[in-house]
Amino acid sequence: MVGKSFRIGLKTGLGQRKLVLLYYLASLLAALPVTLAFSQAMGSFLGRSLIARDLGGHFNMDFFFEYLFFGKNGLATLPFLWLLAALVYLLGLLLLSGGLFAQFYQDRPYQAQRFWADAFHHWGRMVRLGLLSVPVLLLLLAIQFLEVGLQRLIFGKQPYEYIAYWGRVVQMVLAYAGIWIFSLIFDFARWDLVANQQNKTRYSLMAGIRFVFSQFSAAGSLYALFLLTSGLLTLVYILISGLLGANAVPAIFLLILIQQIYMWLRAGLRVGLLAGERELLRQLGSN
Amino acid sequence: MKHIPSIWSLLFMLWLFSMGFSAQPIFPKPLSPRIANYTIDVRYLPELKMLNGKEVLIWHNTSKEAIGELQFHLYLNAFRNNRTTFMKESGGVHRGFKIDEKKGWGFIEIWRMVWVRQPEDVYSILSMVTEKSPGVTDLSDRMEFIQPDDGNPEDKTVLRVQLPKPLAPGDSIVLRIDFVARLPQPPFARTGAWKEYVFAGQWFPKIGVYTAKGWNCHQFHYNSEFFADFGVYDVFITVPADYVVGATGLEYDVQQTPEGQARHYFHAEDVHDFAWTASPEFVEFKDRTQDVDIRLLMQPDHVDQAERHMRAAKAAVEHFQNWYGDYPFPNLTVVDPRRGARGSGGMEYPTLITAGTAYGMPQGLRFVEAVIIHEFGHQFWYHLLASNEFEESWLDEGINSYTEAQIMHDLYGPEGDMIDFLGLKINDIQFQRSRYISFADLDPVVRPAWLYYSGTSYGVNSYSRPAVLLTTLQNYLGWNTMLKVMQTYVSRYRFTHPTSQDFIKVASEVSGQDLSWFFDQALFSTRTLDYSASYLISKKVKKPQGYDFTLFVKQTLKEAGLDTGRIATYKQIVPEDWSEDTTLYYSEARIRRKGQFRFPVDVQLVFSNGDTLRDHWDGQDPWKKYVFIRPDRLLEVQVDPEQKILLDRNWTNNSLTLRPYPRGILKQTFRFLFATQFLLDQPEWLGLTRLLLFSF
Repeated sequence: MVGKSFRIGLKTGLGQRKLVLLYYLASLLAALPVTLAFSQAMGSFLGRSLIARDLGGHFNMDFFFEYLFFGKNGLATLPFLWLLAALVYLLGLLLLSGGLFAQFYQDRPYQAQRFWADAFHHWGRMVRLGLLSVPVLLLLLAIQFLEVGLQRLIFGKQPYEYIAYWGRVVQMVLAYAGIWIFSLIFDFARWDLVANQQNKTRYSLMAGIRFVFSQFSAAGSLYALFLLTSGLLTLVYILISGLLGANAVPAIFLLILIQQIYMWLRAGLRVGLLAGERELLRQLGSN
Repeated sequence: MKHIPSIWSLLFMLWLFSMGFSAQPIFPKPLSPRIANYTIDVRYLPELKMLNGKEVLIWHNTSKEAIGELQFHLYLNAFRNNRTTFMKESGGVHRGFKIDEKKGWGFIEIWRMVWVRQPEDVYSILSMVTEKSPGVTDLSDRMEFIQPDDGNPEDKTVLRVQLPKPLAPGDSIVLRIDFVARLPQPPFARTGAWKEYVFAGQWFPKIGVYTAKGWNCHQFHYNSEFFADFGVYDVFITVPADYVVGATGLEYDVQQTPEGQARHYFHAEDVHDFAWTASPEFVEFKDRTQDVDIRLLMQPDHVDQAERHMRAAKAAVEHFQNWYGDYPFPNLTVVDPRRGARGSGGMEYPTLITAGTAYGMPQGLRFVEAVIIHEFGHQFWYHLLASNEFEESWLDEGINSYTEAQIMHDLYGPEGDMIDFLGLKINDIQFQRSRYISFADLDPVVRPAWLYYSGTSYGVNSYSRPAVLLTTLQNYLGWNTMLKVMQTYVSRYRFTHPTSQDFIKVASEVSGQDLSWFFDQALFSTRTLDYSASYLISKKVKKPQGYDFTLFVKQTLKEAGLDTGRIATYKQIVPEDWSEDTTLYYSEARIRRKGQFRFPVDVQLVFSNGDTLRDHWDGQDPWKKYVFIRPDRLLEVQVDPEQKILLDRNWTNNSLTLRPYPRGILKQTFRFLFATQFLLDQPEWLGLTRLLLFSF
């Protein structure tokens, strides 16, 4: 069941090029303003300096330190733009998810007009659901602190460093588990919201929580398979990009291409996961 | 004979001393003047974190004056309360560590000081002398705290003792001092105790240095280290029997006491300080390189990093001995501070240094290596060459930061010699330069440590800026000459108190040139150095037009009044007659010295046909202009093309080009874009930095 959902999800994810393009564009467009600001600030600091030539190779740390100090005025707006990018991206994803969930739920092909109509139709509720989910996320993130209490109870205030170190690893694993469980809950809450045209988003949230905990092995396994695929993809990217450090135009263009293909594939995996979840729901007869 | 002249009694006592304590002297002949000699019997009380000590100080007046008073450092009193000069200056925080304000305060009290005017052997003085003993003068009532630096009456880190009778030149004094001290908790500003671990630094009453200007005995400041005379130390340390003890010098003996404790006897010659550490948890590792025994005292947490520590310690010993001179001591102890006690980490004492690491420290973060190489470097720049760290901290920390960077580069260079982790590569000297860039002009390098603008300015001017300026000097003089400078400085001033002028003298002498122009700017001024390429054009010379026009290129510049002293003109390719086929370019490049620091520099000019011209500019004037009329365009101008002048704060503005190089910006822009896209998509990966932060 999980394997089939994964296969179908992957196939759909990579096949739905327009949807993948939308998700890819969302990350690209959200990141663009802050990137342009960075590029402009760096360009204006560099001027016509020959350092620009060297930056085509490995990053020059002397330049980096000088840039941080002498170019700090140009960098001042970046944190704000970054936060803005995160907000825009988040809202963008919620917008897209309305169209995508509706399309997948109704098993129909992509039609731009229908997609955007659904996207805007569900957007408000998606945002409400998102805000309502925040306490759930915080609660799940708080689970990691159980380790702190347990550690203090068993080993006291200042345990050996290896205990503290591995304790922190456990905390991190718990934190990631919390985030991933939350992602599942949020996904299945959105499925409920779209399926039932739910206006009371708290019901959808509850439905999401109920579903994830009642079908944890299936939902969790599917999520884990996509996570693993994403991890493998990242590994391949790291291996390839490591070979493209040369200060030469072809190498630089190839690197840029590889980076954006990687982001495209990640968008594909995101769409694939949702398609896989839809398939899982179908197989479980939930919808 | 009733009265024995004091000098003979001292000799007699020293003979007894040598028979009783040091049957096997470390060195056949004294290496240093041995002015301040200590025998200390100290008992550590682990529950109270207290020291109960008896000290016999034999101090020689080597000055040409009769001395009417003595001055002592009582460093632990810096941690007595929150009103001391140290605590006020530091705000209670040192290197990010804090004292436990409820029960962590430390102090030192001398409860008896007597002048033993008819000295016997040191054993007897330690065990039997009281203020009522015959031939003894009680000085306890003559003690008073003074505050020579800031007049803060709450500061009790300097003690003055008026002598009833001045000490004649060449004479010696024997004092018996009884003291009790409490170590700060957790270890703070290099000393203290925590749980079962103790690190005792600056823990005993220590006499100041008598110089030609009188007593040099500064208060303990937040931004300062120490200054002391050389001597012989015999120290008996009583701790619980299961404690492993490490200390300055060599351990000669250990005896069990009837109370079930252990009394460790350490002997050190020609050192100017004594520190010790003890813990039942230390795991000991031993090895040897060249003629030095190395002993590691590791925390159980870090046993898997013992090899890493040992490798770094061996590399440090080997590099220093191969490059700078002989390390005369037979041993080195490296101490790994306990968790929660890192306030005692990263510090140097004669033959004993403390490092500092964390469980899981990645190999590519070479902080362990850097700190061990740095702290061992102090065995030369602080120990052998015992400069005054209160007043000229750069002579120790700065020279040491320079040599640390050299060794790190030699061991792990050329790229990422300090950090080589997840694609991030940072060299030690790049890190030093980054700090220098930010605080280049607030203070001169040479300044009393407590008078800098801030703690950061002290750090930059004592560590980073000297490392940068010495690397610049090395690039100017050449590696071999610089090495010879360092070697001469070490060999000439070992076991003395050298000053900045001594270093300058050696550098000038060895290099065969007066370098005061460099050091005056680099050490004694706040001048900064920033060369820039400010202007570059290259345009076609217009064809002759109009009536009665003749172009004589050779004369053009002079006629235009441009051929002045500041302007270099190169007219190598000049056709005599202008023809229709001739294309000439007028090119002009201007370079500037934006800071006040003058330093000779190379300038490189590159033409469109590949020709490259090199010029050497003395940097005396504020600017220089290059003008060319050639068939080729001038495409690039670059000041200091090899980046030899690390003192130049901004290398980015050193060059100008007419050839665009968009690929650099393009690559970095898309890198940034990619990172932003990735983090927007999965911000939770930032959480991985939590593991990395554990290492700090």
